[in-house]
Amino acid sequence: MKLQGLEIARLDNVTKYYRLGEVQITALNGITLVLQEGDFTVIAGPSGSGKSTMLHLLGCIDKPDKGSIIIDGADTTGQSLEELTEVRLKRIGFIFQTFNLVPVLTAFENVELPLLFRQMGHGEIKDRVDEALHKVGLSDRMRHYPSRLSGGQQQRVAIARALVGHPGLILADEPTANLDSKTGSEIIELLLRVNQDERVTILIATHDPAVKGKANNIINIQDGRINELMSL
Amino acid sequence: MKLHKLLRFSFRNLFRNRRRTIITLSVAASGFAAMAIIAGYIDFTFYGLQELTIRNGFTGAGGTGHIQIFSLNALQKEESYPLEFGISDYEAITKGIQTIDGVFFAMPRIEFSGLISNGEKSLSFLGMGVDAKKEADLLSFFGKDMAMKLDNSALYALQDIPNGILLGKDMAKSLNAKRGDTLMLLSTTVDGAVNAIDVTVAGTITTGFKTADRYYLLTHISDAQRVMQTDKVSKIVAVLKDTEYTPIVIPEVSDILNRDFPSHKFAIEGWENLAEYYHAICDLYRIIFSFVGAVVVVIVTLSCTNTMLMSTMERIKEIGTLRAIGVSSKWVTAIFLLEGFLTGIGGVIIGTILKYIISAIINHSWIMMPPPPGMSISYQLQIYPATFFIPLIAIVIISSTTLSSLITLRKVRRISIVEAITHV
Ligand SMILES: Nc1ncnc2c1ncn2[C@@H]1O[C@H](COP(=O)(O)OP(=O)(O)OP(=O)(O)O)[C@@H](O)[C@H]1O
Ligand SMILES: [Mg+2]
Repeated sequence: MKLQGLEIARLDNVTKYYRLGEVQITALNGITLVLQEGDFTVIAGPSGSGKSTMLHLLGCIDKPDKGSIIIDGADTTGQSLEELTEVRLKRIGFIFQTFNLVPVLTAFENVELPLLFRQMGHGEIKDRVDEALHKVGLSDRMRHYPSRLSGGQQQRVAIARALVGHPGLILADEPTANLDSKTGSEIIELLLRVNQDERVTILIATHDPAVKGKANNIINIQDGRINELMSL
Repeated sequence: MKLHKLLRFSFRNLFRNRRRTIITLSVAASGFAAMAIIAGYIDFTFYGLQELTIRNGFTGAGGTGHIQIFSLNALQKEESYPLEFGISDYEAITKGIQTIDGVFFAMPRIEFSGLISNGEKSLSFLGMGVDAKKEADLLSFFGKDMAMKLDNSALYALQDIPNGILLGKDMAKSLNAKRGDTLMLLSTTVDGAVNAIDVTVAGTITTGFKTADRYYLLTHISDAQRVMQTDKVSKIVAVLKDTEYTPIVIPEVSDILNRDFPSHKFAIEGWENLAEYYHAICDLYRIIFSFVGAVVVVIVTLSCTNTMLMSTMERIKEIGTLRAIGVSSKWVTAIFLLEGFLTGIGGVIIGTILKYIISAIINHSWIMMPPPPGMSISYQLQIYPATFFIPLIAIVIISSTTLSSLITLRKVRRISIVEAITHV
């Protein structure tokens, strides 16, 4: 058990329903969970167990039906869409299974994207983007378009984009699912390094057993409930 | 994000989404060019109608000229006998008006009616006594850049024959009259008696109006005066060097008449007040243009929306990603609107070039247009610059591309971020 750190995010008795016609699906059922600064947590669970739903709620791109989500000490329950957007911009980094880079933008421009919407000078933006691309080892590819990059390289760009705003929390939904196992483990190594160097809290949803091995917390969920919580 | 960053971002998107941009740009540009060319054609048509009204007229009663001068009484009261309110000092007035800068010439006209007979058959007529040479000049002077010639050969023929007369085509047929035949012209004199003179057929005229061709005839002014036993004329017509001078010359005519003929009250009318037919046709064209304009706007908006929507479906994931990483929907809206707006501007620029090229081709290919309604003269198709309409059309096009990005955005907004980022 490691030392009690600073709380970055918390799910408090969170329930999320989906409605499919007449049927109501309980995607998350009374989840309570705390993420602390520097955590490297993996959410594991079978398909449909609610991993993605949990990430979407923590990432403030969806709202729970019950319970509350606290990010950096602030309860997001009553916050306006504007405020949630601001939270996403400044406090959270997203990494997707399908990389989700903007195809018409170069690696540099993709990473730069979140900074364009912040009050930041040209020079500062450039420095930060260079730094982020350097961290993911793609300094020499910044003029490349996503279509000219391998899957692993695209995911690195996505990681740089998530890092560039210096968020406290990075959420990654199956970041290795579209990569071969070697590239996948390189991506996980990269995330681990980022986690250790920057003390960024990282939460990864995955099926991949290799990823589980690297985590310091593993949350197993099934049918929208946490059925096992392991701290290593 | 500051405006310049936003502009750079939108420009970059437009340049890099080349296929989509090319499609929307061509739609906007062709819409602009189409409307500008239609406007140019209508401008040309208005000009053509205006000149036709002034030079030729539509009722057989001759062109209106630019300015007509009557006795004020002639407009306000009923005459108790022909030419009661005619103008007697017409020669002096004509000379006076001709001293004005911008006036090409002035000429008298007499309107009268009566019967014309070949000895066996008599027909009633409406006639006009004219200065044949000047009337011919009015016709030949027609639209310097219209490349359209009005036929004035009949008027030249009339000049050469004393006692000459030009008959409406159908009237000539009905009287079985040929060039050189002698006919008898009967009319009421100013004293109320009936008088007759012999006239010689100098030719026929076609007014373009079937009914007018059956009752209309032209004589020398001297013959009209002789049969009516008067030295007056009905009105004086001033022809200017350019139609645009009309509003400037009218007050000058008024000054000269007040100065030289203070005892006489005149009415002075510009051609626009004399041309009812012209206004009716212009209104009709305006309605047609508005309708065509509306159709073009709908087409541009729909095709731009369609293209943008198609590409937006490709971009849903992109937009979802932007929203997920913290780009506010306000910015997404701004980016969309700006892209639509810039497309509109680009469309207008390309459309302007396109319009100039197409107009130049049309104007140099000597396309002959069929005669306007009721007319028998064809003319060369021309596209005018229509400068007045261009800013208006530009606004319309830019609004419709911007509108189509708004419509697209509304569709995108309905999709939640979660749906959008997992969109395939
Ligand atoms: N938009 C939606 N509409 C209806 N039901 C949904 C929706 N999204 C998710 N669900 C349901 O909610 C439950 C949890 O889904 P979720 O995507 O969170 O699972 P997951 O653990 O991420 O699965 P996977 O490993 O396949 O990605 C599932 O039963 C799923 O069918
Ligand atoms: Mg999932």
